[in-house]
Amino acid sequence: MTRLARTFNFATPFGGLVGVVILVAIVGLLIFAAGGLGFRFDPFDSAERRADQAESTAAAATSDASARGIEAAGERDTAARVDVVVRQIAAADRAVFSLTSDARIAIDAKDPLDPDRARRLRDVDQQLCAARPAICPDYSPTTHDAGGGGEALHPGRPPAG
Amino acid sequence: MPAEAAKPCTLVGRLPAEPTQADLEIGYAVRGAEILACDARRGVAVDVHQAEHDDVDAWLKSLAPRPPLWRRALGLGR
Repeated sequence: MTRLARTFNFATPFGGLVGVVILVAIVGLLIFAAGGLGFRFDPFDSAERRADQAESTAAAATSDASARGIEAAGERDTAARVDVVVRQIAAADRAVFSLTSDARIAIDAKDPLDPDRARRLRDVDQQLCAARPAICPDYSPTTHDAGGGGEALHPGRPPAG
Repeated sequence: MPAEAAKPCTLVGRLPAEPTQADLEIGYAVRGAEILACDARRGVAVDVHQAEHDDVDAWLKSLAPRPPLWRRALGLGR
């Protein structure tokens, strides 16, 4: 120490700076050595906070994976339901298409409908459209005659598949 | 919600200007088919809506911590 004191004059500003650096290095070495022995220098509890953060991240990831799994199963279920509905509608369309063909070639197919009966049916349709316009895309409240032309009748759609 | 379920129901089978017996017959059948299609789409909408709620319940249940063994043994699982 006497030799060191002779080499560095700790009383000078440069010597004081060197002394501080040596002190900091010794303290750092002691903390490092204590860490190796299992002691933790963690005055701000950062390890605990890091652990909490990792835990919450893992929980969020687990929850997210669970949600994705449920969502995928739901999509498959919905697709299966839609498939059933599409097949049911196609079966109905086929039945109507078949009837349409027969109706067009029936003996009385071209016979005009009784005007009174046609008027009553149109009146009912008109009332239905007035009650709920959403079911009649071409309906306007000023139109009193639903039978504006051939496009008012929607024949059976051709069978799908 | 699937696009199929969002389609509106429409009043089909309306009579043309000079209706014939065939038009009446076809309109009758077409309207029946539309009822089927409309009900099928309604059913899909209701089922999917319910299934979505069930999915949310299942997800929330999966988030809840598992109760201890003694609670489950006594039937106090929730």
